[in-house]
Amino acid sequence: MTLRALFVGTLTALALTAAPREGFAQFKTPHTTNVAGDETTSLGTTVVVNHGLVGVGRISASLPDPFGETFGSVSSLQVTNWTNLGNGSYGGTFNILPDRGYNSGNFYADFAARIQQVSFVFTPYTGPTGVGGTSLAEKIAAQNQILFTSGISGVKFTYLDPTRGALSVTTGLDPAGGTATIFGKTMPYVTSYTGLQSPSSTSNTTYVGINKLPLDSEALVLKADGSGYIGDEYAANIYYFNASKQIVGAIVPPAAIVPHAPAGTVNFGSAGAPSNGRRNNQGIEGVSLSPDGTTLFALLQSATIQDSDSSNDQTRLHTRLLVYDVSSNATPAAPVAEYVLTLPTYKANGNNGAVNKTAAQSEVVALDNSRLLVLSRDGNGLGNASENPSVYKSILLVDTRVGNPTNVAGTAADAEGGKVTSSPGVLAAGITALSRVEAINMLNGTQLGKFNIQLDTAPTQVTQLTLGEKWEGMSLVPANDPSRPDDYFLFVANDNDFLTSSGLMRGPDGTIVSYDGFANGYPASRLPVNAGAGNVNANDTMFLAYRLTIAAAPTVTRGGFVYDRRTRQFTQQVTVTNTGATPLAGPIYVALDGLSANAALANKTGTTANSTPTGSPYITVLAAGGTLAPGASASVVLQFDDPTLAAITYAPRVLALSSGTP
Amino acid sequence: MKPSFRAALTTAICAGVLAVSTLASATPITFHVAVNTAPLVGNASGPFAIDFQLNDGGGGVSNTATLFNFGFGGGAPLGPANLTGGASGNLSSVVALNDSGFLNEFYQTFTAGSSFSFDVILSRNVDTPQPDAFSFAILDKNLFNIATTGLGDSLVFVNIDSPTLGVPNVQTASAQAPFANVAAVASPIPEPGSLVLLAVGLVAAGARRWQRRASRV
Repeated sequence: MTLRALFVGTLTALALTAAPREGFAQFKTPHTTNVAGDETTSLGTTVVVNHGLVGVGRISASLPDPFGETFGSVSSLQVTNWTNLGNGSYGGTFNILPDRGYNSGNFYADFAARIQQVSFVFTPYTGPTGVGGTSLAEKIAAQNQILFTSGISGVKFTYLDPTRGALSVTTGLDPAGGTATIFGKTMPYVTSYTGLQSPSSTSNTTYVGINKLPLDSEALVLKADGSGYIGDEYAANIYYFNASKQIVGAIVPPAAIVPHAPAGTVNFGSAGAPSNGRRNNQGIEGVSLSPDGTTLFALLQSATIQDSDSSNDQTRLHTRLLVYDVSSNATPAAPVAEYVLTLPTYKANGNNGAVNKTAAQSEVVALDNSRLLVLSRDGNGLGNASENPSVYKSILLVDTRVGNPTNVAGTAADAEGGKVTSSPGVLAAGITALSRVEAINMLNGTQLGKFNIQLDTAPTQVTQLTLGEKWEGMSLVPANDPSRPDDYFLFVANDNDFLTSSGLMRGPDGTIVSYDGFANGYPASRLPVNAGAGNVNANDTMFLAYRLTIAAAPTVTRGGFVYDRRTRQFTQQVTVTNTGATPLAGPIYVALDGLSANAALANKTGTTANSTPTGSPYITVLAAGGTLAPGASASVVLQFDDPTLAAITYAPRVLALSSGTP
Repeated sequence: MKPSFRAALTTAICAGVLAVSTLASATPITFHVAVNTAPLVGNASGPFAIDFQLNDGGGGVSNTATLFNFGFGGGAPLGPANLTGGASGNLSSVVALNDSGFLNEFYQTFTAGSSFSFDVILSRNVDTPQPDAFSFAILDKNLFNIATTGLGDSLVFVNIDSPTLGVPNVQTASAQAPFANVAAVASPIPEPGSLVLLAVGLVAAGARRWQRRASRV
């Protein structure tokens, strides 16, 4: 690197310290799009180009797994054995983490936590037209870019049970207030259980001698040696398992996240809200390990009880990201950092009324030691009995280095009942949340339609082609394309809640029972039209594949000022350079954050309104339709009115936004 | 002061500046600028003014620009110099600029001749978050820049963004109609060792004084 390049790089790094955050937008109406081509966004030093949906696959919700229970529920996903087959297709294995099994009302399953595996061949489809099909059956059959090439195999997690003194599988049964000492720590534990034997049972039964560690598994990290982590919803623990899939340790979150009921007493039950700590059924939904294996991220699904109002779901927006250093200890006692991530909020029925829900997060993928993809979504779509349209399902880019977020680890916010808010849903003064931008809007009607997936436009009748409600699995793999070294495929899969009219599940007594997931409470419009005779109602497990470019954001370099006595303005040239390996589509803007009050940008294009900080003047550097090739630069001259001739100061911010306005 | 002595003294002063700057920071760049000013002769928009700026980039790094060896191609400086911020001197001897303010500007009217030329010694200390910048422009009688193809209607513009910037990094421009033939050209000046230059200049000045003193006897 030349000295000149070094200095330019330094200037650029300084310039990028003030980078955009998606505004704390409220989505009162469906946040849909119909962009057919690439969409670009940037945050800090990262640019993400969403090249769109390139493949879909489907597994029947009625398929039994190797253990005789219904296969389903991708609560987390990880691809292994990823290979470029060299013929335009890729091969791999989906490692699928289901949650606690089918549950309905007072029925919980004795479902042992497990990893399901299925091999697949993926052939991206980038043609301009749809994948075809006229009838429902033909359209379903055309969703075959992700083809499964093996049966389902699976392995159940075990742990050393203190009662049995032997290895045991776990259970999906609710622990209520039960605890035991396992891994040297207080863990949830089910000794007995009172509930329904099957969803169709009419009265509760008490089952004794269960003696199992309960897991509601929601997040999976699978390391190359076969060991890894499970994010859990009952205790909000992060369990560590060895290569034999034996759970041998646990990371217990800060006391502020541990559920207590009453205050001062840990209580891992999920049937009701605790006094403080994680909300019930809102545990550690996202866990991801940095590619270098040193940094473990764990993200709470939504805000703690004490940071929200249990009767106003839109106040659950300020959730917490825990960052652990696992370079030398797989189960550290405390996080090295803890940040607030403010989630989007939305109106459940999308009728433009006041927001009443939080788009809780369901999965995270670490890009490195500071950057994450976060899946944030509503609960609307196929599988939900309520007649609400899909309003918000997006994948966000988060960077802990951008915007100086506040690290609250080890502060009073970590103590039992500790808060990051001043009142429910209001971030405390002095705390800066993480910066984020939307990288993928999943509610793209054009792209989904190309692959025969329909947006839920309730109360319109749903079918098996309707987009599901719960997308909870993500896995990122390289495209292995020498011409596009920064390209990746992002697989996204849904938690179908084991929802089928022909299900099999292990009841509390350990025997398999059958169920019809659509038997209770589903209005006719929410029963998915199926492919016809012989088919059952089913909310199939779906896989989507997006192609992304994740590269270095364009850099901005500023020149010096000159005062023009003809225009009575200071002028300055700024230059934006694409330092990545992928062409970037315009428009590209530069915003001037914190412009000193003595000056005004006389030739501004506009003022930022959609990306924070808002109110900053911005100028177009590359117009729509233009392309910034790798290594290429584009310049613009800024003209400042500055009547007092005082110093002009600001922080430049590059906005690579191929759609929308700054 | 006779021209030969003035030139020698100027050389000595500038060499001194160069030497001090050399000791304190990155080696300065020296270059020569020539402008065809014939289209300005007798033009009703005159008298014109020479405008130099050295504007601050905002950080704590300082730069200086020393301008000397002014040639007017038959013209001459007029009136007093107007100084803003860290500017001093005049077109009859040496103009010095430092970036002590945000805007550091020198301008002075002149009678246009066939050309205007000067030499520049410019330090190369890189300021952040944006570089200091040196510029040269010509103003009309209303003290408006004559329009040019350069940034901010300048004829010469230099971003001091590298300790190794050279003459190729000096941006030159041409004026626009009605002065389209007014164009700046920058060229390097041979760079003898600065201390040698200082010594030569001082010896020349001393010798001249000795000659004058001897002639009085």
